[in-house]
Amino acid sequence: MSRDLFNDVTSTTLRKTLDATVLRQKAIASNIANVETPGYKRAAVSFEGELKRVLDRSRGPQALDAVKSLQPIRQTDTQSPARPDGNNVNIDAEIADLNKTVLLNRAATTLLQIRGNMMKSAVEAKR
Amino acid sequence: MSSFSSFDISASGVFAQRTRMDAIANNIANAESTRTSEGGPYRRQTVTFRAVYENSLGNPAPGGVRVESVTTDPSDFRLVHDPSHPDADANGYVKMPNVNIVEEMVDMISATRAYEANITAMNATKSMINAALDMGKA
Repeated sequence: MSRDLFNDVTSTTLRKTLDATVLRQKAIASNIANVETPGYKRAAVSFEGELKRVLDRSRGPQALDAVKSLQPIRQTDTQSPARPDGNNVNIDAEIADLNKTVLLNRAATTLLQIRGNMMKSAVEAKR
Repeated sequence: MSSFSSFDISASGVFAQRTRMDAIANNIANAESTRTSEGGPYRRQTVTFRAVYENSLGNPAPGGVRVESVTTDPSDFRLVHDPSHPDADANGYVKMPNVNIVEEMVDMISATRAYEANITAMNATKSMINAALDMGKA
């Protein structure tokens, strides 16, 4: 089989999730830094919706290829209501997002680590 | 793209809010200063921020905040009737700085909260990087 140890849907999904959380963390950091900048529009990163769509649609090898080509998308949010100075950052929402992002990142790293440990046990052929 | 750049973004926010805090402290300290080196009473200082974007592959990525300028507030001075003051005019009025202490206090609370929010973001980045580093441990 040509599949290597970490080239499966689960590991790839977890890695892509890590990429998304890092990108989102950067967007949130920027939103918080610009909370008092007039006219600033908040940055957002979308990923989970597209991931769900891909995983609902395909199974097996197709799912792997689809997840591999998935990229988190950075957007400028012009829809959220803005304050009179044109800035649309809501600091409470950003802090909530920040906590969500950190927890998602923790979950993904923990699962990746568990997966790595499983591989390790298999390689060492523990009885 | 490096995950460490989130630190730089939060650091730019912390620096911006501290600069604002410096201006507020200066305004409060000089709320009664009727003489300055430029002549006339002290004028209130305000800090302007600008969002920074870094261009990665033609797609502007958020890159933090920058202190654009520290400007003086051109609004009118307060007139206080105090004939005994050495800077009083012929009618006994003294021109006092255009600093409103209450306004400065509100700005100060806002700057403190924004400063703390940036520190919170920095701690979150740190915990994410630590999680990544812990993956290497058995």
